[in-house]
Amino acid sequence: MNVISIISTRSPSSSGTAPYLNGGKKTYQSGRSFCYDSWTMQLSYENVGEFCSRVDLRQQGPLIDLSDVSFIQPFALVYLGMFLRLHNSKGINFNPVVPRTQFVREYLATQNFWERFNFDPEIIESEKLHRFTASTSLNDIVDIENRPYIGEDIAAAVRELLINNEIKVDVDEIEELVSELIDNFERHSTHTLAAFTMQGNPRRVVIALGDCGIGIRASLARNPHHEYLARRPHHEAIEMAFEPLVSAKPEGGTGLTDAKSTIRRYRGTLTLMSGNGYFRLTSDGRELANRTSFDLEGVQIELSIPIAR
Amino acid sequence: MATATLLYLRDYTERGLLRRRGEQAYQRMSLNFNAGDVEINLDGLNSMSMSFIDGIVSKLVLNEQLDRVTFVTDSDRTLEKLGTISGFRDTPIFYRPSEQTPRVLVPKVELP
Repeated sequence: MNVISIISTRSPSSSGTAPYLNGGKKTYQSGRSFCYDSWTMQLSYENVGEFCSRVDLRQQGPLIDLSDVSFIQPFALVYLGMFLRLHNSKGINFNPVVPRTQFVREYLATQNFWERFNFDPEIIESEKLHRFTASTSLNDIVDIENRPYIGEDIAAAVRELLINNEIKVDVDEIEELVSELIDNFERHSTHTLAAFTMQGNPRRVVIALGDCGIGIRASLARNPHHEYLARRPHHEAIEMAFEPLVSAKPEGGTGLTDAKSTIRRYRGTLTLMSGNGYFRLTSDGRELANRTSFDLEGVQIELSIPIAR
Repeated sequence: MATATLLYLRDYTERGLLRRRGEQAYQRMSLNFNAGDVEINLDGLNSMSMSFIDGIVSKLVLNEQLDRVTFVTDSDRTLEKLGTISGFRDTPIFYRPSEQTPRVLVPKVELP
């Protein structure tokens, strides 16, 4: 098996604070370990919104400076991708400064990052050279509008990837999980773009999805039964979304309930963030929900599933 | 004694992942629900998500047809999903493990 893009983060501290907000955790990549403190800049959900907001869109060919970025969390890449795609669609093409860190260059090349966002062809060609020879990763930013079966398409691609790379998970369950989550985005987000990334290695599969839609709270509040949630904290609405039959739709839904149940069975982790709230299922089955220190547009989900040895 | 109409779900949908696929499958099968008892064999699809099955069950509940339906499956995973749906919808669902065995209630599964 070719093990290429290996990214996993340790569980956040058990103090109940929001995930990803504090340093001090190590991240492993391709068997090498990196100390968080030694990094120049970790592009994470804590700061990717701010990073994007600092790009001067008034300039011709706005500069997007990735030179100091030494690690990109899947969530952050999803967010960054949507930011770039959104402005590409308005005719704005960015002028990038590539990362200095070799690992980040490899990661972005493996994710076909440079080809996706109308960057300078010379940069695309040179950065391609950093691509690994094969990949266990999948990364897609898709227009979900009028694509009611997009969940099936991406789930099928995930299935193929898992089988081709002999990743020892129940492919049926992962396929169901991915399709359920993407279907939720397609059915409930009012935004047309959603992003998906998956990275696999012999120890775990990490899947991240995101959109820039109205978020969980506003979505649930559209259902008259849950209208009151519009006046409640985001994390309370997020917790509710994992309850059976709680949905924006009157017939109720089961997608997130089933996802949580599957992840719990695998002893994996699940993090969902929306607005300034988060919900996290830890690998030992604990459920945490609280406020984050930042306000997030849309919904972001990250799953980490250990692989049987 | 009238025999039940036996339907094979795989004849009514290519895939079993999305709620809307379940709802579509229900629509395609729905003419059969007016005639009498119906058995739906769920086996034969590669993957079948809870949302997909619930898409069928919720329509059967809505149209007060669920008590005339018996699901047929020898898959423990499918049975568990039926049990979970039975639990959170608080409604009895009948199944049989094969087409020859008697109809019994799906054991409800409570989510942790």
